[in-house]
Amino acid sequence: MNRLQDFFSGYGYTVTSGLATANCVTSTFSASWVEKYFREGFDQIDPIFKFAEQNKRRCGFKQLTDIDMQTPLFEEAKAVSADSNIMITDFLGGSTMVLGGVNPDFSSQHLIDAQEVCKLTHRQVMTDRIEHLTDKQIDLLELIEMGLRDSEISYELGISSSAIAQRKKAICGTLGLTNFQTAAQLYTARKWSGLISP
Amino acid sequence: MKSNFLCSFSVTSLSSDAFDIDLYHESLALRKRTFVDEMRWPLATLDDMETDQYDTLFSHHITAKVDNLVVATLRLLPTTHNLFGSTYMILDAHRGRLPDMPASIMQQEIIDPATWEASRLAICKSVLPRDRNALLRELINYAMDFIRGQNGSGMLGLMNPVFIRIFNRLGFSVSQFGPVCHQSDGPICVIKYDF
Repeated sequence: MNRLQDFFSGYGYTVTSGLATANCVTSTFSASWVEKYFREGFDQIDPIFKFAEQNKRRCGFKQLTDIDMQTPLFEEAKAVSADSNIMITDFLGGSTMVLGGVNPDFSSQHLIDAQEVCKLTHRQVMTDRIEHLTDKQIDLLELIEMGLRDSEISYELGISSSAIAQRKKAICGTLGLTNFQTAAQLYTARKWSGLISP
Repeated sequence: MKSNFLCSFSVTSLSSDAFDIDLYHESLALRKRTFVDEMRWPLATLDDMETDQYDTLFSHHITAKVDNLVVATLRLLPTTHNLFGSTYMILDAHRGRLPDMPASIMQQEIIDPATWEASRLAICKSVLPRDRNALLRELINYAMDFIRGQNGSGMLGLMNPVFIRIFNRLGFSVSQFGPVCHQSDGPICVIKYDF
C-alpha cells in the first residue's frame, strides 16, 4: 500500500473542521518550522490555505509552478526543505484535510494514487478518534447502527430526544465532524474492521 | 431488537463422523474472500480457500447460512490443543510465536479443557450493519452451546474492545483478558466469555 512518504520527500497536513492551528498539524517537517510557521502567521499567506478556502467542502489538487513559489515564504521554507509544491485537500463529513507535499518531479501519474492515499490517511485520522468516544456515546451509535429511530432510542436509553441530539452533537465534536451520518458510518467501519471488509 | 435476521447454523469437523466437506470448504472460502481478497491480509491460501496451522483434526468450524449461502464462519479450538509445536492462535501469539500478531496479549496463559478459543471469525460484507449484532449474537450462542456440549464453560476471542460493552449489553458475561493492542485494523484485545 502506498504511503505519503512514497510521494513526498517531506509533507505536512492539517485535519480540522475549523481553522488550522499548530495543534492539528501532522508533519515530517521540523517541529521548529511548524511552530514558526503558525507563530509568524505564514498560514495566512501560504497559497495552500487559500487553495483550501477556495475548495471548501471539496476534494482538490494543485501543483505550484516555479513562479508561484518565488516568494519570501518559499525561500524560507526551502532552507528547511519544507517548500511544498503539491497541494491536496480532502473533505469528509465536515472535516477538511489540507496537505502540502514536496516533490519537484510530481507527475500526473502520481496524482490519483496520492489523492487516494490522502483520502485513506484522512479517514484513518478520523477513525482513530473513535477511541475517544464515551460508553454512552457508543451505546447511541450501536442503536443507530441497528436501525432504531430516535423515538425507539429514547425508550431504550431512557433519555429525551433533546438528549439524543446533544449526544449526537458531542460525538461529532469528538470526531471533528459536522455530519452525524459520517460519524455513524466511521464507527461501523471501525467496529467491524478485521471481521468484515469495509 | 429491530433486526429480523434469520439464518441457520451448522458445525463440522474433519474428525467428525458427519464431516461435511462442502460446509468446510465454504467456511475456508469465506475466510479467503474476507481476509485475503478484501482485507489483503498476507495469509496462506490454496485455490479459493484460506487455511492455517490451526485448521486441524481438533478444530470445529461453525457456519451461518442465509438462503443456503454462508454469511459467517467461526473456528473453535480447545485451549489444550498442541500439535506439531502449535497450541492455539491466541496463546501462540501471546508467546511471540506469530510474527504478524502482537505478543503478551493474555492476562495469564490458559490451557484448560473447559475453555475453548474462537478465531477466524469472518462475516460476509453482504450482511447489513443493522443485522450484524443479531448475527454475531446467534453465532456466539451457537458456539457456546457447542462448547457446553463438550463440557466446556469458557471461550476466548481476540476482538475490538468495543465488543466487551456490546456483548454485555446483549446478555453475555464477557471481560477483557489482556491489554489493548493497536493494529492497522484498530484496537484489539483478548476477550473472555464465561458461561
